[in-house]
Amino acid sequence: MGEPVIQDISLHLEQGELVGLLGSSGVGKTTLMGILAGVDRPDSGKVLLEGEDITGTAGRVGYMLQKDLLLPFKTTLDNVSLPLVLKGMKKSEARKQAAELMARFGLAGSEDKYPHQLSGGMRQRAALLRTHFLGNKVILLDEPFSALDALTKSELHRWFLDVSAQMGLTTLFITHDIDEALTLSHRIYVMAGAPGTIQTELAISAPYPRPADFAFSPEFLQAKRQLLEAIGRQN
Amino acid sequence: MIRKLRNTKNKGDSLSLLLALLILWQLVCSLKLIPPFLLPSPISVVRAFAADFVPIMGHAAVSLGEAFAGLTLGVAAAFVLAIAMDRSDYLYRALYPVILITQTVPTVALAPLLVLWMGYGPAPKIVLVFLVCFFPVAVGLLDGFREADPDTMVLLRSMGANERQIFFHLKLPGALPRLFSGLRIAVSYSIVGAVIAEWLGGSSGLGVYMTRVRKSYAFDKMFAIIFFVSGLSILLMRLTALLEKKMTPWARQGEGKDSKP
Repeated sequence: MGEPVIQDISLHLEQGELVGLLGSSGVGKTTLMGILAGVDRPDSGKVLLEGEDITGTAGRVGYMLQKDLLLPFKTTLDNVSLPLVLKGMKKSEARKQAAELMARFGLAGSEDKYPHQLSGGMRQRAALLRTHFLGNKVILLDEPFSALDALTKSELHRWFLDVSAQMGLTTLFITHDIDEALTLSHRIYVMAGAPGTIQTELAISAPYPRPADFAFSPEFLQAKRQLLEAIGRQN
Repeated sequence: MIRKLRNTKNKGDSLSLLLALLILWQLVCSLKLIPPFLLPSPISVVRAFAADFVPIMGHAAVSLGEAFAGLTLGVAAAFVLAIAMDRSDYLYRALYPVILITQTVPTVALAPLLVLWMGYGPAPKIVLVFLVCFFPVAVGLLDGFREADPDTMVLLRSMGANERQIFFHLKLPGALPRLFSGLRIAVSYSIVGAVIAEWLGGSSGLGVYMTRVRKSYAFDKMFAIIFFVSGLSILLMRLTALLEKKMTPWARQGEGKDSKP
């Protein structure tokens, strides 16, 4: 079995919440995500979704990895509707359902394009829409915006806050970027140590939509200092 | 776009070179620098082809039938083996080196043995074609399956996909380009394999025709049939490329972007 990667972790997501998960590389964030997504099984412990034990059961919550991982040989529409097809829905019906949401995700007109014909931001939005079609309002995002340039990133942040409020999504997202965590989150967990544990939990009380100069407010800066300290701390 | 232009230009260059060689060849023959029974002129080769057109087509049908049968069996076997080896690590580790080693055996040299074992009927020809076609397709498929992105596999599992769904949605389409590069080789081998197997005996087929005209020193017919076989190979490879374009539309649409320098 070897050394444990993560240990004694307890976290929760309230309905409609956007929660950030911060921590340095190798601290076990992705391992934790894999367990929450049901792709990996923990040696001990449980994952509960609305009280139901879903430990080791894949396909119950949406999971999006770092890269967009769109299949290069499927069109955008087929990529996006893939989770529905995998669940046994007829292809035509799955496409119809996906087509209805393409516009809201800023993908109108790219239904029949292949992923390499889309921009980075569009691919990420397509990946998010696909994650949404996993059928649950809970989505786990592993560094969803890390591969994008700064401008596309802040544009996507605004858009994501919009969509997740409209659709009532509950999101846990991993990030390396403290500013990103502070801009998006209701709450932030910080993981640190080896094996990784939750070091700190921090609520950001500023209401949405957060003003453009939120990043210069005393609350932001104070929270940032707290987070930086927590990330560096060892057990 | 630039690459495409260059491609067409290359094609034009090689065409004009071929044409020049053809004219040179005709000149050498017309000036009687080489006696015609050793080297027939291009014009007499064309005449020979036209004169024997009907029997040649009959023989071609037989050879193509053998090639097609062997190719189909080879591709089917390659699929079965590649899927089995992809699913079982044990089979992969055990068989992959063995398959590579069998490729050092000159398959064509097996032809006399096959004829010895199976007689002069179509069986040894089909088996030889099968043997030469199997390898490139199996290795192409297997490498294609193995190249499936592990992260994407995790993602599909997180969506609740089972092995069969992962195969059809990820592994198989991902392996198509490699399958087709194997298939292009297999297709050209198949017709040559059939002809070579026919050299060793039989009652019809392009290889049988070839041995007959050789024995009667009809070198113009000999040349005609060589060109015909190579033309057939090119045609079959073209058809394969066409099928590939049809079956991998994403690659075609990528051309514009990928060929940027």
